[in-house]
Amino acid sequence: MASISLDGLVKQFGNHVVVDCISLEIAEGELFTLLGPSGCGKTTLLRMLAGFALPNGGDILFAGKSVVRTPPHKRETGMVFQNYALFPHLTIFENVAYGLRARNIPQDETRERTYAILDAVHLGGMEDRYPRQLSGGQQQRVALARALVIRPQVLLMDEPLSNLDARLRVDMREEIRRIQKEFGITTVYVTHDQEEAMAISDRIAILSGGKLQQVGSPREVYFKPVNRFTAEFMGACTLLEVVPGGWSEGATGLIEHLPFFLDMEIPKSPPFTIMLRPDWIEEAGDDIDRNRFSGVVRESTFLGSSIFYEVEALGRRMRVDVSSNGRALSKRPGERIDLFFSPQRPVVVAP
Amino acid sequence: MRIRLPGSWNIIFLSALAVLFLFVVYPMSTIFKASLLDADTGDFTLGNYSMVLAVPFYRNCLFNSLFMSGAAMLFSVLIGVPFAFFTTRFKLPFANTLRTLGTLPLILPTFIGAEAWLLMLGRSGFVTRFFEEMGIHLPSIVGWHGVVLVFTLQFFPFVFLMVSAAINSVDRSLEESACNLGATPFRVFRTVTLPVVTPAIAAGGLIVFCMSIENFGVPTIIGGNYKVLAEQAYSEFISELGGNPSMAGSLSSVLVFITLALTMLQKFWVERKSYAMSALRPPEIRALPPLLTWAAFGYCALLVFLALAPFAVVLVASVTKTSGPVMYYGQFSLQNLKAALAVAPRPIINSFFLSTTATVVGMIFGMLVSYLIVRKRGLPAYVLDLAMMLPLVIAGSVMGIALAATYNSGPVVLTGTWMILVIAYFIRKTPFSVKTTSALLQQIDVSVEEASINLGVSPIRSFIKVVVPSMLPGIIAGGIIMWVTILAELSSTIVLYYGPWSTMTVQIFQYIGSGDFGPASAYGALLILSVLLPLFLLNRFFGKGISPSL
Repeated sequence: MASISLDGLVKQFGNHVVVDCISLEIAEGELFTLLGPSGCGKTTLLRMLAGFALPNGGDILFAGKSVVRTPPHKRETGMVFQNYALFPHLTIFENVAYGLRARNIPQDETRERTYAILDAVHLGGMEDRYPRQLSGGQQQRVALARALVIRPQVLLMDEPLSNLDARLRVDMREEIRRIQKEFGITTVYVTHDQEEAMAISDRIAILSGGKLQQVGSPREVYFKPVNRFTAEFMGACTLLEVVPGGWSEGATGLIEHLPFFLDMEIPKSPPFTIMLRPDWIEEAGDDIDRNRFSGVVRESTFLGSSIFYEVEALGRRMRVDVSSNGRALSKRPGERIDLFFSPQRPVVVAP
Repeated sequence: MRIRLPGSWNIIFLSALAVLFLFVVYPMSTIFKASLLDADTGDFTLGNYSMVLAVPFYRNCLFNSLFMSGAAMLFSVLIGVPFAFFTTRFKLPFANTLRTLGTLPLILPTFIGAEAWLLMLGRSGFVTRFFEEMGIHLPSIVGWHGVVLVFTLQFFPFVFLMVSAAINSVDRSLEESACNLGATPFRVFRTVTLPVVTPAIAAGGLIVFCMSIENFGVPTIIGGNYKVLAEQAYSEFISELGGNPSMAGSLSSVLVFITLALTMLQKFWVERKSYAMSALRPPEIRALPPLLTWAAFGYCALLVFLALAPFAVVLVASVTKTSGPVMYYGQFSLQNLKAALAVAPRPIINSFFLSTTATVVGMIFGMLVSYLIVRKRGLPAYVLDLAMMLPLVIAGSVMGIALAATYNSGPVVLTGTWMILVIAYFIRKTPFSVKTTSALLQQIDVSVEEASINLGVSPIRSFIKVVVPSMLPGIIAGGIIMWVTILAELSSTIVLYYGPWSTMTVQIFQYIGSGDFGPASAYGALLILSVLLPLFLLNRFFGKGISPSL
């Protein structure tokens, strides 16, 4: 178990900078996720932690000790690969015991630890099977058990759920979360799925173009994205440009020449951008007059408990999620809709 | 659920099955039946089989066959596996060239390889004589060691190709995972890499064994008194004095049983153990320290040189002045080539005519059969597939004996016509075309064809307009492989040819037999060039090696 520090880590392939000067602190026992679109450098970062890629600059420390010069087989990381990389010629038992045998652990202890970890991932009784006789979810558990049984300093997971179907993915991520907490092991988890990242992580680092965009708890990165990229990557949102001042009394600024009230600290340099999540925009009743605007429904999707509207308003299209509240009828495309948002909801984002 | 075949496909299916029955199943059952009959009385007996084990001469043939093939298998694995690893896993200079050259021996006629070794290390070979002048007496190449040498050098590419395909089908993460779990690089190789490619090594080795045991030309040319089954079955069959059809039948059957058993072993045991995965990222090609790089390169280059140099020797010999068995190296002469091309061109014309005819028939037949096998599935397609692939386990001389024995009397007499040669070639080589074509067809979605039928085009026309064009690269590649291997075919030709229908291969074989290495080399050189040129073009225009077809 160890904390991880990355200090100005750089990785280039030729002239292409894949990881651009990243510094991070990951606490002991934390489940830390690297999140970003493909090509953002998250997998390269993970492979540098495992030792499969050498950084061109910067340092990696496990528990305060630099490991950049440690070869991968001596680095004591447990890695779960995207395709699991189970050894097809070995049984489940032999797969899990592989790392222990490589360490010349006595046979009795190897058996004991292997059986114990297989029980922990609910695979007791499967020892003698071969990987191809297991389902995707079971193979995933074997990969996890194999990485954990060597009691690594850190656990590394490279998109471990991407080969599973949607339902299993949800079950497995809860399972991974449970096991990770049970073992209290420092974990770096790579994914491109923001929902998965939010569900599983203690903290998330969002990467784009090899650069760190934001680090924070799932709530922080969802509710308080620092920039446009994070705002859009973490979920559907509407970005509005605000020009400070306005002709209505007490108004904070103008959006598309209409006055709006914002109950927040606003940046000094005008104009600025605010972000709204789809459920922060609500249908306006007759009693609402602040931050009220109207639009035309272009598309409406009924999803049971909620209704998604694609609305044309304030000179753009925006998504608005409203609770269906047992209403049988929703607005049809072409109908007018009156909307508003509370002055406390929006957040300011950097461009 | 099986889709009902449309009418015209039914007819094609039945005709294909009938052809395979007439020219594969029925002839083979004829010689199998002969092997169970007493040669004199015609009664049922197992005596011919007990003779194979009881008579020391036949027993030796069996033992020699197994020993020689086993040795060739062992050595092919020993030299082919390192070759595969060096050329696929490490950065070597000219790695691509080494790989391409490394597959060539497969396609070059084995008996010409044997001839070349005689030219070098035979009793009056130039290397032998060179050392003799220095007072060093070299042991003769003639004997089982010569046979094993030729087989090893010509068949190791099977091991190399299968192993390098296996290496590339294993995802990089497998080794990384082992490394991540704390295994040293050597341990990773020993416990992960090697076990994962072991089925491929076994498969390659088994192919080498089968190719060796059914080979007729090499042991006959360079084996001396070392007699093997494939050769003896032929001798029993053609020998006019005391020839024994039952004995030819039982020797042939034993040979077929052996290859059949090994093929089953490969199919049901090795293939089941194979770990091919859809590799996301093939293993990294690593750079070695300079010294090791050059050592690995030297090994691969030497191997390729040893395998191909004999053919260069034949090319040189073809333009060398000769008289009988004596070669005047260094003295340029076109006498032999002229003799072959101008004086006696008939065997050349025969070779080209026969192989072109058989190839055209085989390509069309192969195309239809591949389609039926891939698309129609179910039991009938499985039966068709089995019948189609059966010739692969039948040695050429055995196939020749079976056809000759079956069609030399009765309502249809084919023995002694050129057609029986075409039939033998067609039967023996169409499986190659089926393999390349069906591999490609498997990647073409059925819905493409269904769309055409849905738009109102009949099934057969849809096949021609939609499926055939996408199968074309496979058909052409398969056709070229067929054409060049038929040109180089000796074992069934030697059984089936008669007078005017002698081929280049027969000429070479007979000239070697009579010690006339000049004319043998002239025909040999023409054959080598006719084989290499189409392959070169195939490589050029389709950008792929011959490897996937073999």
